Amino acid sequence: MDIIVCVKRVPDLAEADIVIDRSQRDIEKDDLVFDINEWDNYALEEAVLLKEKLGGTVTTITLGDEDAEEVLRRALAVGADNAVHLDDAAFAGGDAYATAKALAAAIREMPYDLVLAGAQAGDDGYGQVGATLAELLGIPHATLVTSLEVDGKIARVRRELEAGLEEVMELGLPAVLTIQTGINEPRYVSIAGIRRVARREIDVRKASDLGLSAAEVGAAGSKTEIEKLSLPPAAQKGDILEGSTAVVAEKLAAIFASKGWLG
Amino acid sequence: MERATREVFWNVSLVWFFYTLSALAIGAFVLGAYRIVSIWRRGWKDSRRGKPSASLSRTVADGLLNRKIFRNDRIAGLMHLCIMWGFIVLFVGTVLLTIHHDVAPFLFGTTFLVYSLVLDIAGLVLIVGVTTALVRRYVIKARPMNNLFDDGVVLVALLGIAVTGFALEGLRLTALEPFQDDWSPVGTAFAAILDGLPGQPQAWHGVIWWTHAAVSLGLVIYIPLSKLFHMFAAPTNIYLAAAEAATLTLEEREKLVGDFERTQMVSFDACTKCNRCENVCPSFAAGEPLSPRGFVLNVKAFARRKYGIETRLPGKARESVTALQVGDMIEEDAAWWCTTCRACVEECPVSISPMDVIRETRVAQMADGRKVPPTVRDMLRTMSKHNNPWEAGGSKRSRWRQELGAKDLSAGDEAEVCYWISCIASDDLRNQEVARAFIQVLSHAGVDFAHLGKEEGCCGEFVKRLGEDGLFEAIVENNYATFAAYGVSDLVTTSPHCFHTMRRDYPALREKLNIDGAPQLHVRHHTAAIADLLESGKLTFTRRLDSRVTFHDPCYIGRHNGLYEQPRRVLRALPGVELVEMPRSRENSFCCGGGGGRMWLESTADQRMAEIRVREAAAVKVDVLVTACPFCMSNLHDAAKTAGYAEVMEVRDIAELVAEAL
Repeated sequence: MDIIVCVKRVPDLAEADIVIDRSQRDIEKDDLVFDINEWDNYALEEAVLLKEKLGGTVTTITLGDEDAEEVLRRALAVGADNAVHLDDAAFAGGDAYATAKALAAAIREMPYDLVLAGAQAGDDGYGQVGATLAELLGIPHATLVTSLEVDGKIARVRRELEAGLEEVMELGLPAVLTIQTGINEPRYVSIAGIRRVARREIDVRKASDLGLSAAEVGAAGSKTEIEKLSLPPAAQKGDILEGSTAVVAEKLAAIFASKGWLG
Repeated sequence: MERATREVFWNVSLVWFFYTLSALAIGAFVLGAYRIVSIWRRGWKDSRRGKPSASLSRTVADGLLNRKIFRNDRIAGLMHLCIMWGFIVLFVGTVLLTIHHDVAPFLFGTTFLVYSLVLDIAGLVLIVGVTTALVRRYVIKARPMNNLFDDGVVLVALLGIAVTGFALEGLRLTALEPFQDDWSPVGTAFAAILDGLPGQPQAWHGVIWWTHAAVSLGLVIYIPLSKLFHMFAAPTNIYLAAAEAATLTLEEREKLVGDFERTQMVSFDACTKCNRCENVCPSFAAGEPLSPRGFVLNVKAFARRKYGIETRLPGKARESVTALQVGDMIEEDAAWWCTTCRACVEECPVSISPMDVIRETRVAQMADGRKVPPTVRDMLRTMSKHNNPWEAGGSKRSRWRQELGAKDLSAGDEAEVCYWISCIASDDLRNQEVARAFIQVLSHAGVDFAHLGKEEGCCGEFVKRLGEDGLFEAIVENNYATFAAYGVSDLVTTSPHCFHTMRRDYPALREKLNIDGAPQLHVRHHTAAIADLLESGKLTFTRRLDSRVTFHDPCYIGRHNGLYEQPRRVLRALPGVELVEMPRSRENSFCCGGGGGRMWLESTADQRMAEIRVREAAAVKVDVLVTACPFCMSNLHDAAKTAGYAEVMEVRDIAELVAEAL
């Protein structure tokens, strides 16, 4: 069972103060800390768990500048066998389509039974790379996968729908699956673990290595363009009820009643 | 009159057969001992050496005089002294008799009489000791024990050897009537009792002699197969034990072969399952699935399976054994429950540190990563990204720090002393009040101090306790760089955890990592700093507090660093404060449950350690439960509410009481 996992290095935005930069098309990243995309972390764990169960190899692939190497190191520490880094100035500024095109060109040349990717990325949040990649590779896909079993040449998956519904489906392999958080408990990656793989070789490829011209990838090869970013309006300040417990409870009950929440 | 002596092998035929059996038993013993020692040698070596004089005096006090068994339990101490010294004297007596019989006869006249008197007394002492042990263990059940088969075998065998020995002496004396001149009071008493036996004393003697021999030789074989081997392992461990486990850098660790340090391997065999550690373990008391005793024995079983000479026999599947990880053999998540409160270390009569053994298995689990609890995993990731355990990014906490009104080194101020505020006092509302109170005390005393403002990160103490040594190393390097940049070497902190790690862990790494320009730190805990201010007359109290208080010793200033007196001196000096002690205080203090990374682990147990502690404080009827640690504060403060004492008892930091009295 050979598995390819697509990973991405993204800024950690959960608690960050987000500031839009002067171009108005991106955010200030200087004070942000970066890490592996949360969804990709689950995809990586799922791949390594499958390898531990069924044998085979895990190859991890990323597209990004030289800093992106750190997520590949992390993936190697988790248990990936190989790491491929698509690193070329031409790749910069690409949308989901351009990214998927570069990934597809690299993956097409490798042996694989399964391609896993995070359901979306924590920064741009397109949620399209996985599906586009499947289309370009000409193989089936399932998105938002919450459980995965491989049985011979069949993958049995559950995928998340709206309103708590789930869909159970079977796909013939090879296939692309985009992984939802919570599918597993990703292991901890210690500093010692990352040090252990510090000298492992990483396969770096440029656009030309993939047979792609600069016009086909990155911003030039994209189908969408960001015109302007804006922050959502700040939420209204909440009311703080004051007084003794009894008084507060009464005020709260009155509010609930006025909203019609008390039946 | 003929000179008094004793005919060895009186009434015994087939002496050669006895010698053959003895040789076989000794052979089996040597093989068994070799098996254990060869496992010890598979541990890595700690290059540090304690002072031989200190090691030796500890070995005499704890080994020969059983000092720590007497701790909190005098009868147990006396009992063990009786068994141990009875056994030693009788063993030496047997060796002397062998020398007398086979090498150079010397047991004649007065020498013999003294010899037989001493052995008689030793036998009686052994019987008293063993009987006490049997009664305590199986009849009155003096304290919770975990009785296994070999506990009973050992006691019954020792009792059997002593009683049959006296019976033989009595029968010999009966048969050799009229009695020789003999100083054997107990033997004589047995002679009187056995006089009534039907038949010839010689016949009885023969049967009992072979029984005595069989049980004795059996016990020799049994020593390395049972807890009895502690007679060698325990003193070895006591001698080798270091006050603190060795600090290893990542680089050193990468070169290590093995799972535990050598003295830790010795300590597994020093354990007699006496259960004292479990009896004092706060996690166990709260009903959590951790027993320090159980843990050590599990790890011992692991070491046996992985390193025992059996694994080197041909035909054994060696690969599966060498790949064995300690995590595979400890049940579920036992390692993560330890609060590192050090109660087990303090209590262990033979210098075992279950706490350090547990941390070592955490290190292994961290490297593997699969069994790290998700809450700990997430905190460590946050820590490595944001340099603090709570995601509350730097900006919020630096704003709060700026509002404190104290000097801020990161803003360009200068001061003699750096107040290291700690993460929890920066992010937790209740503990923020403590930081403010301490700042008030320092200002009142005219101390020239400042904090590090936005440059203060996390000290990393719980990262180390949780076994993520790589991250800890990075944190330490980072903090030393900050100290060097702002010229900080004199620190005071309100957290015993920051205090402990900067005092104990930092210097060891500073030396090993050769950190450039890193200052030598002088770190004080605020209880000690306040005690100093008090002594030098810098604090004048103007308000009476009129309250009855008790002090909860935080583990990391108490057991870990021995600061028991300073907080009490301060409390006694406060006008109108009456200090009373809880039943468990000072070295016996009961942990709040916050150490060792436990702030990031949810307990599923019915009880919480802090609630047990709060009830204990309430039982001594105090108005204020005083502590001096932000983790204790958080846990006890919550527990006072959940256990229903919020109305009758406050939980306060010592700095708050001092500030209030100013």
